[in-house]
Amino acid sequence: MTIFLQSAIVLIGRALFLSMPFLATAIVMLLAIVPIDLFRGWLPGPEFGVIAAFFWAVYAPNLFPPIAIFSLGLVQDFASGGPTGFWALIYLAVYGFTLSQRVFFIGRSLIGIWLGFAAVATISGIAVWLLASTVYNRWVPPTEIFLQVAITTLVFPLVGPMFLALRRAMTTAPERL
Amino acid sequence: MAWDRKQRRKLSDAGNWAFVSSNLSFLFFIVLAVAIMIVSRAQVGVFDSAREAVNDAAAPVFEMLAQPAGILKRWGQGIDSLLSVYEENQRLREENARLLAKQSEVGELERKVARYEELLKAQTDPSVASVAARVIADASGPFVHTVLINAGHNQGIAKGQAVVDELGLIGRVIASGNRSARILLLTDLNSRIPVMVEGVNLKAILAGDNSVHPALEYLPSGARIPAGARVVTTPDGGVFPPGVPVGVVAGNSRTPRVNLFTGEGRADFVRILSYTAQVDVNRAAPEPLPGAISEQPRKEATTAPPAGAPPSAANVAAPAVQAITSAAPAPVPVAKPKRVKPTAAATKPTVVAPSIPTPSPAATPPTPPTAN
Repeated sequence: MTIFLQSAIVLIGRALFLSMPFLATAIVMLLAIVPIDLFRGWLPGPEFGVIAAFFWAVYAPNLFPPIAIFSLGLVQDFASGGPTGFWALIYLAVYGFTLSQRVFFIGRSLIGIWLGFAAVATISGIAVWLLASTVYNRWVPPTEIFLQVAITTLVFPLVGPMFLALRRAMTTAPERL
Repeated sequence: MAWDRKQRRKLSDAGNWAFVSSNLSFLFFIVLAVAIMIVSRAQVGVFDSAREAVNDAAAPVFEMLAQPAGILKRWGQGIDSLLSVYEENQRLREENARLLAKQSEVGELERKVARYEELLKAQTDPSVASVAARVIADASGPFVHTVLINAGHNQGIAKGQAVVDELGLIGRVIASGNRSARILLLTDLNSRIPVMVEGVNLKAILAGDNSVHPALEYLPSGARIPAGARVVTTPDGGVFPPGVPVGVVAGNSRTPRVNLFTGEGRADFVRILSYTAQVDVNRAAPEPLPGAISEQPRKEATTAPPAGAPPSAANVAAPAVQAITSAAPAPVPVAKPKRVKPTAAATKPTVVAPSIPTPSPAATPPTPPTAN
């Protein structure tokens, strides 16, 4: 009985440890939708899911499997009230694209990563615009989409180091992978 | 860093797309996301219950987080107002003087209107009940403008109800769970609200297009809309109570736009108006043409209240309309008389009378949300 309990605790502990990147991203996304009215309702807030999809695809895809990206996308879809599956698809596309180009990002400085993120975010903005226009069957005004891309790019240096610290803590922890 | 270099070499050897193509779970989730999107577009509302359940479950967390956020927001507003306290004070003094002068005038007018209504036996607008709620989440994106509030079915909130803040209309309820509800803001791409321009008495549809100034659409051609005219809701469509302030006309461009009263920032607290139209406009239809052969009684006829049943509010308010409605078929606009293929029941070709004219754009009820 005691052995069973110990095994269960170890398993749960390991699962929690492995899901820390997911939980951290979910908490950041949750805080982003608190109605703090930072831009007085005039500007869209940053899209933290795109930052997470890019970051974890570059630094630790083994800690952030596609199911985690998909779940975050669905949560964002449900929270925003937008078309179901929309953000799940966009996050997965960002994740897949970044993984395919990962070789160019590994080992770069934070500035290099930031520039890379700016490029990926712009491509994701174009994808969002085209997909939203397809879903709504009319040309969606692109201004807000690209404003959001700019804001997300500006916010990346604030969130990226936080994720980097978490990833370092996880890879140097005794339970490291 | 050494780890990174080693990884980079390993990945270079493996090829760019090696990881993605070999990762079946990635492809599986891509296909799943596409499938979910297609299903949600093909069958609108299929994920509504899941969405409402998730929002209901998350509502207490959002509510908990919204309280300190509200305090932070008020601090921000406090700092803002400190910077402009002198100008604000001057403005308020002038406004106070002007309002005091108007007060007695308004009191006199109110008494006059009440007297005229009594003399004319005019039917007054029904009182509109309201529920107050807090905005607990604002996940508005670049093409979706919605907020979540902490009241739902349990508090009497229902889909379609108008939502106002202290300045005017901000949107309408598009989904309601037990403890939370989602509000589609006026600026959203899918928002369509029947409104009236005061002064010129023109009806139009206020259409959101993601900009902060929604457009007035379906105005009569050649209509002149004066800049600064007030825009209020109309009860057309049976959704909104009449006269809720929306904004003022922004300019004399080809497509007039509206400066919303609630344009600056987003509200902390809102009121949800529970309004019931006196006439069920969805069922109201003109009388069939004399001599026209009506269709076989449809399913609707079977759902008519049994004889002796207590009269509904619509019956009491507009018995004539109700009498027409009960005989009218489903309100499908028919432009021309249509020949129906003979069936076993009716051997002769049947001419179906035009059941309802094509509704004018201003009378069209708001488009159901396609945000899902």
